[in-house]
Amino acid sequence: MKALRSYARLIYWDWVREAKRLDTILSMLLFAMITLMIFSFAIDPMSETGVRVRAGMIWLTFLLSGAIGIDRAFRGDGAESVLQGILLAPVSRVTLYYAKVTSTFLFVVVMEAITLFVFCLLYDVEFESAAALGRMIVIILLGTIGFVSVGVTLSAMTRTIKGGEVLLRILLFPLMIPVFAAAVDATKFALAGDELTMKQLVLVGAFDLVYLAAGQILFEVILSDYDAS
Amino acid sequence: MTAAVIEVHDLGKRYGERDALRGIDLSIEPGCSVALFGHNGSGKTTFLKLLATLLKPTTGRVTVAGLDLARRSCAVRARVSLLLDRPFFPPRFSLEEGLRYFTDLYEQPWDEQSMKSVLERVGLRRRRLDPLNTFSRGMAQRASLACVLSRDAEILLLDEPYTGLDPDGCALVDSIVDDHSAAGGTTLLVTHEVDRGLRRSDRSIVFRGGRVVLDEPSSPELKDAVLEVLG
Amino acid sequence: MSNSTTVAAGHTRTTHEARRSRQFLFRFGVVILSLIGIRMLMAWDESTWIPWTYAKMTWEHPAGQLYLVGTVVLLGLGFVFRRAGRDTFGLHALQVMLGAVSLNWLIATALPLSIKMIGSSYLIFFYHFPAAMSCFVFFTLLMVFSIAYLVQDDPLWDRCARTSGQIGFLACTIVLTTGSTWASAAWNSWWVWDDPRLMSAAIMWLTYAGYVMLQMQLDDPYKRRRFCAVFGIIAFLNLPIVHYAIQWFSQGEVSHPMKFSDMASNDWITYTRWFGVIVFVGFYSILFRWRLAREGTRDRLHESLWAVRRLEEGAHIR
Repeated sequence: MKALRSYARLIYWDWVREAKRLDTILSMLLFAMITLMIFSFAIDPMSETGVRVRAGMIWLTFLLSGAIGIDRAFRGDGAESVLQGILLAPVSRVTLYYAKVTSTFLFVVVMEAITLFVFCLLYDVEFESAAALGRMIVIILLGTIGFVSVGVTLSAMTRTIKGGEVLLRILLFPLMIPVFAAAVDATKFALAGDELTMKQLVLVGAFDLVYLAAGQILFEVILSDYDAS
Repeated sequence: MTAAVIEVHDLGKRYGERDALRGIDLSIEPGCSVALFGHNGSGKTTFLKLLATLLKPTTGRVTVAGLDLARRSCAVRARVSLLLDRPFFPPRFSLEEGLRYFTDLYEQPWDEQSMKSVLERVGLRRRRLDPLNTFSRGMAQRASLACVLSRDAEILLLDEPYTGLDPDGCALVDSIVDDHSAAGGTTLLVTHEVDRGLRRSDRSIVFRGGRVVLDEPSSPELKDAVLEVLG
Repeated sequence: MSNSTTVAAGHTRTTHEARRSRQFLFRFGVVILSLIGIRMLMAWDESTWIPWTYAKMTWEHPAGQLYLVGTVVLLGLGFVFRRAGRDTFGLHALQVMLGAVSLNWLIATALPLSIKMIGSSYLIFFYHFPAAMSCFVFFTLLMVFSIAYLVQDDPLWDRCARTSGQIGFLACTIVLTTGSTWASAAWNSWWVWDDPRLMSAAIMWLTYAGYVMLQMQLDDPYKRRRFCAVFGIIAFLNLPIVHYAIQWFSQGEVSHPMKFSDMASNDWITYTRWFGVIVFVGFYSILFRWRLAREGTRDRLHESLWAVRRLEEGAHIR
């Protein structure tokens, strides 16, 4: 119960911190918009290539700009002394991990929601039914959990390295490929108005579970000896 | 004889092939204020961080307020307040917001009146709405002291609290230590100012090369001994 | 003062390690020679097996010539440098590499003529498959060592993990390059984007490239050990997930043989291939052993310097 309260507290303060200048969400969002723009020059989105390219486009945009949000989880102005304060507070590392995952997840989801909306407007994507949209939302949420759960651990790892922003992406993106492949596949189905297959959900779900469990343990390992982290 | 509030048995911390601390055996009674002296790299800050559970000991056993450090680190953190060189709140928060954040994070009740008196005491009342990144070094140190004052931790761990402070500020630190001792709390004070440290403490401990080389009750006459051990 | 003694100690240790590795090289040579002997005995009743034919084939084939000339040159260079008292690690490594490659070439040529008639494309399996097996072996070892490090906190395990990462990465690079070269001949393209096997190998390569890079970028040894152990575990966890993801969601058909038993094969090919696996895992283990010794020397030097910095900076963590 106490852990739940500190969990909620940490998320609340992360939001307050973000609300000061919205810099994480805004930079993710702007970057996503720019990516969508650049895509239109790289490939003709209205051509016959169809939904497959669109599903890939949207997930690539999520991946590239979501990485910014994950990067900001432990980096930025004064982030290190804030982290020190949290580590000294009576909050367990596991709670801290889940709080960080949740707040980063929320930031990324806000970005994804707006990006998806803009994407649908710009590229004339229409969902056939509410169920199709629902399936799309399910797959986006599941995919983002996987993305963020491993991302937060890696972000805690690369936070003190000079040039760690790039390293984070180098480490994160290859790990993301399974969830990316499954999510693109599922998004294709959702955009075409088909039911999701078991395989897609199983793979993304398994990825989420494995990385939430592993991330929780390994996050503790990373921060248990602060000086060495 | 009361039970010791901090029990350290054979504590050691290794960095690779070098020991930052080794074979530390100490027991500190509640209400005692202890001054820790030592050169840079002698292990005193490492010692404080071990007590505050920021670091994990390589060897040895530590109990703080009867709680095993390795197993109940969360409960230990609730009883210990560590002062480092920067306040722990986000730089864009104003001082008041920062304190609100701090007390919430450390599960302290928020009380407008007492917070006012804390700010009054550290001399930052008029700057309470300014964002923290506009604070100078000394002001930031005062803000850290406000954090310490806003908690009622049993054990204070002060890592070089005098740095960057004017004489008023130093007197403020002294009064904080005195009040804490008067209320029955324990203080560990790391400082390079031997005179001040000796005056402010009941017991002096000198670290050298990761070991305790002197452990005596404080008195003004001890100064020569401390300086000699420090070399 | 203390620094100069550390460096001096490191130096004596280096020469000591070099001597040890020379001994090790000798033992390795003995093992290889006995393996060749066993191989020859195994092939004794094969009607096509005539030692002279193979000696001639060695000389006539460009790879054989390269090996023979290379060995003579390297032996000469090694002799010169040993006289000058230099560390001959690189030369020994090269020599062993050439030795292993040409050994495998010998293995391949020892196949019955009937199989050789199919064409030289079969030869790939005696380089490519063993490299793939060694790369799995070393990546698994990397994970085991990483866990051992996190449990026991002993820098030795970290060094082992780091070295297996490097060797596994080398083996993985060899898998990709030999595979790609073969594909250019057999499938007429260097890379097939929709083949699951190829894609998962490429992702594995990228993941462990990240691992090697993480090892390089973290200067502080205490951080590095801990973080790299964490990433070593994550990277290994990811392998099965990548495998299934790509099998399920790649659009293409499988061009790469998923199982070697699917191929038209006879016992000789199977024996030879596993013989190649043993030889190559042995070869990579030699490299592992050498690299480990070098990493040990480097760590001792590096770490004592970093410990000083860490102690001095105790109060200010950044």
